[in-house]
Amino acid sequence: MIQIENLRFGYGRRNPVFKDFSLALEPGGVYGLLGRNGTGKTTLLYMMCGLLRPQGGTVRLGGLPAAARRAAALQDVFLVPEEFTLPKMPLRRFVSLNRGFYPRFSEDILRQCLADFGLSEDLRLGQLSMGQTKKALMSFALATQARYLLMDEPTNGLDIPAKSEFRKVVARHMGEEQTLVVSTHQVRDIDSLLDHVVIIDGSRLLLSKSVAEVTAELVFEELPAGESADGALYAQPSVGGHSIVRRNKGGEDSALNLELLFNYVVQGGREV
Amino acid sequence: MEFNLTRFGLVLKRDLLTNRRVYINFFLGMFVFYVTLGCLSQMNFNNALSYTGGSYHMMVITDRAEYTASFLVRTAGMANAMFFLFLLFSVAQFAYDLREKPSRINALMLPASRLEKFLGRWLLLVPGACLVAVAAFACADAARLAVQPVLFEHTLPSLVPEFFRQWNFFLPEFYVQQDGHVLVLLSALGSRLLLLFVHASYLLGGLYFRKRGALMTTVLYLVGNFVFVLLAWRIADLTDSAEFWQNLRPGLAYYAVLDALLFALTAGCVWLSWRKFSRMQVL
Repeated sequence: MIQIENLRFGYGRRNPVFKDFSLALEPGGVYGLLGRNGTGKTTLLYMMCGLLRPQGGTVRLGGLPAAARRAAALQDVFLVPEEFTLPKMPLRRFVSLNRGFYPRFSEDILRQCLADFGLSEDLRLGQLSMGQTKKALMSFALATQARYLLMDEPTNGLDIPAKSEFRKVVARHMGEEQTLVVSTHQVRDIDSLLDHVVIIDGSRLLLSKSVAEVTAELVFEELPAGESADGALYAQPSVGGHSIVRRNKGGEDSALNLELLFNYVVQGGREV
Repeated sequence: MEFNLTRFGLVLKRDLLTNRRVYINFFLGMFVFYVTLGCLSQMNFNNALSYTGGSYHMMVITDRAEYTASFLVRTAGMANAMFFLFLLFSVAQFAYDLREKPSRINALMLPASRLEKFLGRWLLLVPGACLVAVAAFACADAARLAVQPVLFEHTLPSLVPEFFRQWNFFLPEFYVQQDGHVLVLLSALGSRLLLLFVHASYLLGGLYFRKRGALMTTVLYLVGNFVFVLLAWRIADLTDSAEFWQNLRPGLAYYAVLDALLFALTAGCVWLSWRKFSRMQVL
């Protein structure tokens, strides 16, 4: 479990990012961490894995204080950052040098992920495009079978087919015990993957609910032009009409529209 | 503190193989320096300074054995001086690879304890670099011996035995043989502590300045020495100059205090380096 309690953190005294912020992520499932630019998504990911120390409050990862960066905690968390470098060496050597640090590392999962991404096992890191390097790192991340996988903008730099490959790879290789936290602006790349949505705005936790809870409370609908949007909680123009969010009074089924939900929560400024 | 020997082995192996280009560059740099030194130094060892009649005179060495001895002592001395400068430069690279965010993430997220990571880096950058420099010296000496008959008309023996013989300076027996007096031993301890302090301060400089650790630490040393000398002169000016320098003549208490101070400063630098490393954050 990732437990954040009364977190206080800022870059300098005049620029607080979190103030008395609390959040709990239960084990298992895919969490989407959403927020506007500069609201602290990356900072929060760094806090979760101990790369930044809280100035107040606590961040615990699997019961251990994340900032202590204990080996036992680090072998259970893998971060795929937005910007990263990998050493210039064959992938096989990279794997042989790093796999020993992860007790549940699976060569089979690595092979399957690379195959799903259309990558060879004989590739040389350092001779790859940014997208290919990212695919290699994500394959390694999944192969570690770390309990907590944190990904910052994982689909940035991936081409269109690779974005759907990413969804397939994650859906196929994520274990039930594993928790994936994805921070992204590319909501359409991940909306079908998510089990849980977290929307933050600095110190405020605007939303933290499972997709099932959200769709039980809200209906996401496309209305043709001219049709009244009365009763909608939020509406925005779309091609050929309006996209609306309304209360789900009759237990209707609707697919989560993450972009619409985000705009409703953030622009509407309502806490759901 | 967490320490697991198996995991520490993995950290060492990973750091060594990931940064192997750095060690290869260290080796090549030292090799080229030592070959150049070994060849150039053969050109000017028939002269030596002689102190006679209260002043220095340049004398010409005509005796072959004296020439060889002069070559060995001076060249190995320069090689050793470079060796110790290299060790300072090397330890100042302690956090060079952590100067950019992605590399810091890689290092900080590695599932090993902070002690394992710290010790692994130190082992590779001090004893490891020491081995690299000695290997470069031995190879350079072999290369010099190979090209010597072609480039020069004379032949000179290997520098390796003299290079290591000069390390006797670091053995306590060296001082005991010279003079068993406690004052000499304390001053000998002080010279070692001074070397350790310089080493620890370059380690600290490497962690604080990361990219230009060696340069910035050296600049700080120069500035610090300049200020210290200015202060010493100022104090001497304020007091009776002759009396001041007379009173400053080192005694037992002087060396004891100096040794204690150097020990405290060395321990302080190591502790601050550890604290800086273990509390490092990504931003």
